[in-house]
Amino acid sequence: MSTLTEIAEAVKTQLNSITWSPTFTATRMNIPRHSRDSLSTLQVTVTPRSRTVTPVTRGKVFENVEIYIGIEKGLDGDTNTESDALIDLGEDIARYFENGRSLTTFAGAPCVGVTFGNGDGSPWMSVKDQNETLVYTGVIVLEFQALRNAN
Amino acid sequence: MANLAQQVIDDVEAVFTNTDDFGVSITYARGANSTAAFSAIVSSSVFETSTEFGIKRVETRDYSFKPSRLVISSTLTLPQRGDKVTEGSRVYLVTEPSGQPCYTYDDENRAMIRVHTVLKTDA
Repeated sequence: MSTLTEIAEAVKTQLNSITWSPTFTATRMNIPRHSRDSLSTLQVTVTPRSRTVTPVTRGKVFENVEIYIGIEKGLDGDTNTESDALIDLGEDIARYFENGRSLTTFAGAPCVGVTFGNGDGSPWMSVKDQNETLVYTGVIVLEFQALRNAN
Repeated sequence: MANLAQQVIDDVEAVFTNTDDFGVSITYARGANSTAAFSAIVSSSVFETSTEFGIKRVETRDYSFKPSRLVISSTLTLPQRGDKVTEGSRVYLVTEPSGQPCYTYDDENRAMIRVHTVLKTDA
């Protein structure tokens, strides 16, 4: 199994080991795909994004892996009440992974970066989705780093 | 006396606005209040939107009916985002799926109004 898949799976497992508010069961999908009507239920999707290897010494490399966590939920209207709770959830998840959080089922690769929306295709809230289909979409980007022997 | 063109329009309009024979039964709701059931003519489509993060599939459904049908709590009203249309076991949400207003008129005489919705739940 690739490192990307292993870490994405570990993130999914870790998310599902915790009781969040609102509650959800995270799934891992390489290409997140949902129908609007399925979003009546909160969907949290873990998706591998990228893997980057950087030399550190002659014999060691840093392996950095980025993972998306998508939060998607159909809304009933444009008031802030519904989306506030989802933004809170996104921030709760982001805070959980801050400060070098390690994954229980993938040790040795602490989380070294957390972004809840960066305005570069990974929004904390997608205006387009809300405007056209009344769906909240927020994305968290996690970066994990492992020190490995060079090949 | 109406000219031939007007007579044709008058004849066609009776068919065009005949929701009872060509439509489906729906109720239209805003919050906890709703209309009585009435008939509307339906057109539907499915589209997908894709972003860097993923894909969403959306079933849209347009309902055309006489504006006079839209009486909620004894008040004649116009469609608003977030209103709900119930058709059988399905609930549709009034929104602006193609970036247009949530409703348009089908004809210049405003005899028929067309409301744009997306599928919210399919029980």
